[in-house]
Amino acid sequence: MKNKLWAGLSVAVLIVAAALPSLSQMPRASAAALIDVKSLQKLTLTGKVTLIHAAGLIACMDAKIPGSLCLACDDEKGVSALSSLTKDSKIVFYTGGAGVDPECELIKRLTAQGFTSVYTLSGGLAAWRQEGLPVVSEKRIPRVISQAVRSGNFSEWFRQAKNPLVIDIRSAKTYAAGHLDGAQNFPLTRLHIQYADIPLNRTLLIVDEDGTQSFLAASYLARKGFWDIQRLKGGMAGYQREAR
Amino acid sequence: MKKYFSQIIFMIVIFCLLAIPSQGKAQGQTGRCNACHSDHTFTGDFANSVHGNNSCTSCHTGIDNISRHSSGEKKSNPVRCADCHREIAASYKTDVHAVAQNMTCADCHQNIHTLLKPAKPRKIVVNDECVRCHAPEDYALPGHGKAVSAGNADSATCTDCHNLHSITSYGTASEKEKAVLREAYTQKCKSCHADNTIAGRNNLSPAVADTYDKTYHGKVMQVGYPQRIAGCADCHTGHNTLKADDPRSALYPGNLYVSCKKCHTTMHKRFVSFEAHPGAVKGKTYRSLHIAEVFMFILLAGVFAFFWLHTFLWWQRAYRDKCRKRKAGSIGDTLAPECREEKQIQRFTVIQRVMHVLLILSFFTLVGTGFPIKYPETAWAKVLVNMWGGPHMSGIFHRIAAIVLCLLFFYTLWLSLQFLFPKWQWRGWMARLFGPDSLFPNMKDLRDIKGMFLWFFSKGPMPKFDRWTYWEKFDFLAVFWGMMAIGLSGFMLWFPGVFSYIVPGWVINIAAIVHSEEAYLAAVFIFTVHFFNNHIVPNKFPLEPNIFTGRYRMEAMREERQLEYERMTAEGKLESLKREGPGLWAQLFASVFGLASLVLGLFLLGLIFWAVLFY
Repeated sequence: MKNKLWAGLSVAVLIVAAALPSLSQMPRASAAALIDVKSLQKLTLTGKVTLIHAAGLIACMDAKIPGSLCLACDDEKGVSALSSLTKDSKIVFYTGGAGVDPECELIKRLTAQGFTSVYTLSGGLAAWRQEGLPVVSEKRIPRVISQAVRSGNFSEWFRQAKNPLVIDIRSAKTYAAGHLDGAQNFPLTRLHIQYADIPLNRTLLIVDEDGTQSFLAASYLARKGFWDIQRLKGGMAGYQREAR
Repeated sequence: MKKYFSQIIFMIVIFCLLAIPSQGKAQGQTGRCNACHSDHTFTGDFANSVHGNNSCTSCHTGIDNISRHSSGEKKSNPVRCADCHREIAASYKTDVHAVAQNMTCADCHQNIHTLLKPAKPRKIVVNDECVRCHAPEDYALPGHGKAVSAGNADSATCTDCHNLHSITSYGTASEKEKAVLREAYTQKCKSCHADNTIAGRNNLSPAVADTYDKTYHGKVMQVGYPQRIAGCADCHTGHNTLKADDPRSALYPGNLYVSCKKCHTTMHKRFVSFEAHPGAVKGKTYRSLHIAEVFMFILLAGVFAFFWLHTFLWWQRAYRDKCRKRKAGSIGDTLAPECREEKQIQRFTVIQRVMHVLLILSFFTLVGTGFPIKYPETAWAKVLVNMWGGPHMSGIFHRIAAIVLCLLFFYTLWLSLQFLFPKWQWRGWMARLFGPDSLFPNMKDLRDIKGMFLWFFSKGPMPKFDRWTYWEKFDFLAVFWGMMAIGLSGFMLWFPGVFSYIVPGWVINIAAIVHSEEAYLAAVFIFTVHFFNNHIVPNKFPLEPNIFTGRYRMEAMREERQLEYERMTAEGKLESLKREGPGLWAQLFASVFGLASLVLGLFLLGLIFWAVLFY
């Protein structure tokens, strides 16, 4: 009996040892499957993939993978623009660096309609560029100097800035889930349409998801005549980290 | 030389004459451009700028028809700085500003037409340039940035750590790249902070790098696994590098809890007394660590001094005996396999043999995965770690082996209790504890030690032993001591945050010392003393297989454990211990596994001595 117990214990230890590595490599759940840069590069060589820059027209025109469509997640006409595709077509969404919004409406609609091969690019355009792969800029936004404000200094900045206005460029859904007091929502995906609604005489603080998009938005607004623009360092993610 | 002088002068003159028209041409072209582009930027400042020797069309190419260009029909081609600045352009391709922000040269170098050679020191200029976008309170005001602005040329400016045009950012890096960055940034810090001259000039301790390398963080970093441990910036932060007495510093006593908790998510506040650089601060006392080090030193020195002397004396005595017997023709070939027909004496049960095999496997795993961390700077450390499948897998194997060893320990404890209190009978436990079947030392062991030393010097006969010799008892009890010391300290290092609810952080430092030194003691003791006592001693060389086969010859019992033999005979138990000789497969396993373990152990011993002697 003792021998059997001992043997059983040894087998159990060996099973745990064998299972541990595979457990540590289990992928995380995601709305659309992730695809890495190397796999996408191979796919693009076959020509059987539809690439979608999902961060809106400004970001897409600034830099995109050659051949990409500019269709934002909240684009009402997004699905109809893809009507020529068959249900098994491979579609890859990406944004600049931050991941595609897990609540991306366009992805949800496509999967609801039975599209089975919808992916998001791991690491986004930044990972693509990091591999030295080509990028096209159809209408690049020249970057304009705009200071970053530390999350910890936000309250002080708000007190001292002249007529401050916080512009939250995240999606309407993310904004609705939680935002800074007094922040107004001008999603980056619609900024080229809505920028005219932003008053010119305010000191702007651009807030994005994680600090990677606010510089582009600030530069775009600077081109449109806004002159006093700053950015929240690290975006809302950084602000929440600091608050913890 | 003299006869060529006039020819050389002639060549120089011709060269100068050829060069002047091209400059004139450049100026001529610029002049034409200035007819329209008449802003002072282009007419005045540009000529004095660093690009002033170039014509407009050096950069603004593709204007082949002035009138079409003047009318706005034909714009120049986009400026390609890379045509001249090739190396910078090549490295900039993977720079964070290009990768994450799609920034081009002119986004930073916005005053390109009026760019002058900086009047201020380069470090200050870099600082000023970067903080135009990056928050100055983060990058320019505290620590290094402040010192740079104050004119300290030793202090690091942005590009000293991040490079100038090949900046990789944590924000854009994959998890694998982040690990590479952590390692790279830690090396950057060390490149200045380990420099005695720089440290001396700036009243800093040059020992910070060395003392970090000796901690678990530093050792794991060196062995190539920066993913799961703290580099410099994880504690000191990347930019807010202030002295620990500054309330804004991450190392300020009031902020340490938050700083440590970034990684050690489960921890008590007393965890912060952990020393990340033990011994680095001059004048600070590290009494508890010092006591632990001295204690472990005395323990190791004492054990090795006694047993190595014991081993050497035994070897020379046994060697002389063997030679004498061989000359007399009274011993045969010990390498010959034993015959199954021969009746042998049962010494170890199946469970005990399985336990020893598991002990060997777990011990080798622990040594093979642990010693690369103990000696991470050695040439073999990374090789050994990679043989386990990399540092991550090596760590997993180490922990599995530790659990196996713990289970063996607790099972042995259980068996020991059963031995002392059979069927939970307390009566007679003292007699059993000090009796001949016990592994607990008794007075006879002291007499045996004395007897053995007399025998070593031919001053007396070899003592007669019962079931367990004193060195076997030491082996057994050393595992008990070792398991408590190495096991407990190992679990402390595995779960430092959890243990901080029980002990203060500085105890983790002591755990690291104890774990490391006890591991050395265990490994070197097993690979020298235990190997010798049981296998390499001349009358057993090259292997005593009875721990694997479970039985040995009657003659061996009579010779090695005469008291047990006599006791068993007198009690009439000897017959019940007689068994068939080990089968072919049992002998094959004993030889192959036993000899492989011996060879592997001696190989690992060689690696350990290599590290001790040459690093």
